[in-house]
Amino acid sequence: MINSPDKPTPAPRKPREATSRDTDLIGRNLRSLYGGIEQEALPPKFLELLDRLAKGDGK
Amino acid sequence: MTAPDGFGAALVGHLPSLRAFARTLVTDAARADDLVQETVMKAWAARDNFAAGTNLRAWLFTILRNTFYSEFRKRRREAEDPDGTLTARLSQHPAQEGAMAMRDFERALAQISSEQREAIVLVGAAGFSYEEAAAVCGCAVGTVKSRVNRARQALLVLLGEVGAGDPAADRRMAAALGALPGLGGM
Repeated sequence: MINSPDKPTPAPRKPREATSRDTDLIGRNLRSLYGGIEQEALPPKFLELLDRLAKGDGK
Repeated sequence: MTAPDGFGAALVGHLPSLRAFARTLVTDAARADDLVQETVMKAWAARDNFAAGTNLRAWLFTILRNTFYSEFRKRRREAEDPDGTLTARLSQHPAQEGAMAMRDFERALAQISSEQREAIVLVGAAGFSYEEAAAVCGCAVGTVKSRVNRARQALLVLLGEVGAGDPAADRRMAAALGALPGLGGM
């Protein structure tokens, strides 16, 4: 039986408080993710597109 | 290939950051690059409207964001990644230390609302001030601050609950999303 007096229901887990370490973790991961993408080699299609635009070709 | 003019050269300089921002809005890398290409074409077409000496970066981010909301989100089933599947499959950082933790983070980031995601990315990663982020998002500074705080709270919940590839953890994550005000419905 779930609510048997012999087996007390465990207390609900307390929500975890945010710590400065958590905030640091989020900031660090965000910058790492963003910076990692920024450092990827730029696909040639972007420069080709700009070249076409500069020549007035549009798409 | 011709050398880009002043506007084109400045635009090229912002492409890496635009790609990173797009990738946080649209987790499919190919679609994110499509979004950046669309942004480039719109910026080029409107370049005469850009006032030299003003914030080109914020102007480009605004175009990208508006393009995402006006066009890409019509295809949100394709473009977004609610269960993080694409994020896990397309992660671009397999060799970096703590790759598993980063994948968990990417999964969590993909789960929060796009409004909260863009706010925390603009302020926390792209280096925009709250005021600049508000201008990019077309909302009040207080709204950006609130979205950043909610994004942080949501990410903490998600990062505390997510276990890689654990279906039970995924169910807990979905429950956590539903329990937080302002999350889940976009």
